[in-house]
Amino acid sequence: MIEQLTLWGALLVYVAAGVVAIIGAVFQQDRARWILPLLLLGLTLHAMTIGLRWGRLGHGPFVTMFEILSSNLWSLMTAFVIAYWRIPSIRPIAAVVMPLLFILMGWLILSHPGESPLPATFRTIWLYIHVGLGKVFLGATLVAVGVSGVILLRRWQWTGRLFRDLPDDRRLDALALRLMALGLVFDSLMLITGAIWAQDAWGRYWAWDPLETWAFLTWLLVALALHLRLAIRVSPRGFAWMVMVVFVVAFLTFFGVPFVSQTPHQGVV
Amino acid sequence: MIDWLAPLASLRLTAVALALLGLAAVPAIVRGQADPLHLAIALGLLELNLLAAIITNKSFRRQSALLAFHLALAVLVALVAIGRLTFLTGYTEIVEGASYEKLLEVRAGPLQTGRAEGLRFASERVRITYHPGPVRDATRVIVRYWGADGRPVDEEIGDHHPLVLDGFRIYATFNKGFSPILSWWPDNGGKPIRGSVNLPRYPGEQDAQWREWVIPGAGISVFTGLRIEGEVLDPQRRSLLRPPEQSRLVVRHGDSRHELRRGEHLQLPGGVLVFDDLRMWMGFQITNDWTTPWVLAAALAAVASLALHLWARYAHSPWMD
Repeated sequence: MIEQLTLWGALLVYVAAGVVAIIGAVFQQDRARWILPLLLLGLTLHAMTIGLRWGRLGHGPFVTMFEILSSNLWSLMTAFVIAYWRIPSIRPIAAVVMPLLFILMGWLILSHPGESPLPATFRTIWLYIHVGLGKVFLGATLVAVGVSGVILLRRWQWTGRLFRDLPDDRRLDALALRLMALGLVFDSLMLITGAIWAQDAWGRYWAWDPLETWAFLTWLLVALALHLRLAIRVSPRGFAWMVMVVFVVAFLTFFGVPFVSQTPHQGVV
Repeated sequence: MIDWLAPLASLRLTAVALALLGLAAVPAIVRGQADPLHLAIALGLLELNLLAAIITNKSFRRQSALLAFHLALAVLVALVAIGRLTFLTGYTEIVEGASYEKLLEVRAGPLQTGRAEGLRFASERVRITYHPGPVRDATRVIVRYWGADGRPVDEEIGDHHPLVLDGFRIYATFNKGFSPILSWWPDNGGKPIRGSVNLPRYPGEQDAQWREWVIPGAGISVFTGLRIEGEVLDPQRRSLLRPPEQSRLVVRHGDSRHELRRGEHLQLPGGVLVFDDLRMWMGFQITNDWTTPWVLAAALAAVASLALHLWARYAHSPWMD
């Protein structure tokens, strides 16, 4: 019961923060003094939810769709809060990022909160390392998506005016590049630690199972986007589109493939 | 030399090679396996591009971390290719109390020289626990091998813990099941023959516990099946997967059908079939790939040098100026 209360509390606080951010963008008002505390409150309540469930089940949020959505929502929000806190000039991107996280929240609410035991192959330190690195990658990509979203929305006058106080496209593009480069490092480490875990659990470090293949394609897209950015000097808008594609593929990899595929990554066979 | 290499070092070619690599990987989503030829073409192009870039790109000489990253990538690609030429992945099934005989399935690179047939190990005991559901929990298998001094050594393997023997890694798999142990006593007074029938995996194929068995040396074919009385795995409680005490071996020969309990026998044309025991069989994966630790080292070196390069490039400038 307490878990449900803290989770709903967290979600309501997140939504409040998101609404304030969107209103702030529409009316060109700096609402950071409301948004940041709300986000921190939401993160605290959400962390309590995850912690309570962890204590009750004896294992972390790694198995069911509900758990994975919840933990990734928390980590994505954490990544965004860090960016929000440390880079004040891009705070209005909350109006882009929070609606994306609303989608995750809606999905979370619709997911069954049922329990599942932790598969035997998940009982390893590599689970925490692999998942943690993946969260950093996805978090960096989310912030890059927020920045890239602004670049793309500036194309139209009625949305562009929402973000006119943000740095120009060139500087936003440079930030997006930096975030994607950071993402590439963590995505690479995630793949490597995943391979170590697979070798440990299944006797082979790579077998082209659907999740491995999708993760590899995501990595290739990041590498390709960065190379194209360097090679043919794509415009900020062109790179912004590439960031969007990377995020969509990464999203499908993290939240789609593990639950569609029947292969060992499911873990409970 | 550097002039003709310059086009091969192009960043545009890198983008093309990466895109080709992605296209080569896409079929794996559906088929579970990427086409080795397509992968080889894409990786080969990438390797050429990498090496050409390393040789011709002057900026690498000013940015040693970036050079190290690309060198590590080139080594990684080469090692993966060598690994595909020399790897071995095999599968076998061993009944409790029996020794490894041969691989039932093998995939190996053309230059694989390992002798998996020479491995000496046995499966002593299989213990697999299940959560309510049933949902598989821990797998523990006691395997026996013989040390350099010839003494037997028992080791427990299971999840995350293979047996490493003579350069091969032996893993317990998800595949396991029941195995009736049978003996055939020929009517002509010949030597009795002992054998086992690995029934389909349990609980994955629990409703299909049948298998044909051709009695060795007798040329008689029988269908053997297991009729399990009661539950093997309690869906409401934690359980241990072990051969069910209450079970009967169903034997079909021609139009006749018989049920035997442990220790009972059946007269068939040419001899007597005895149902001696019911044990577990375990599937083992046996692998050999000497490049694995080197691939890991190269991958880590690549990431470390990339991180170092990015650190040098960005650490002293603000995230947003």
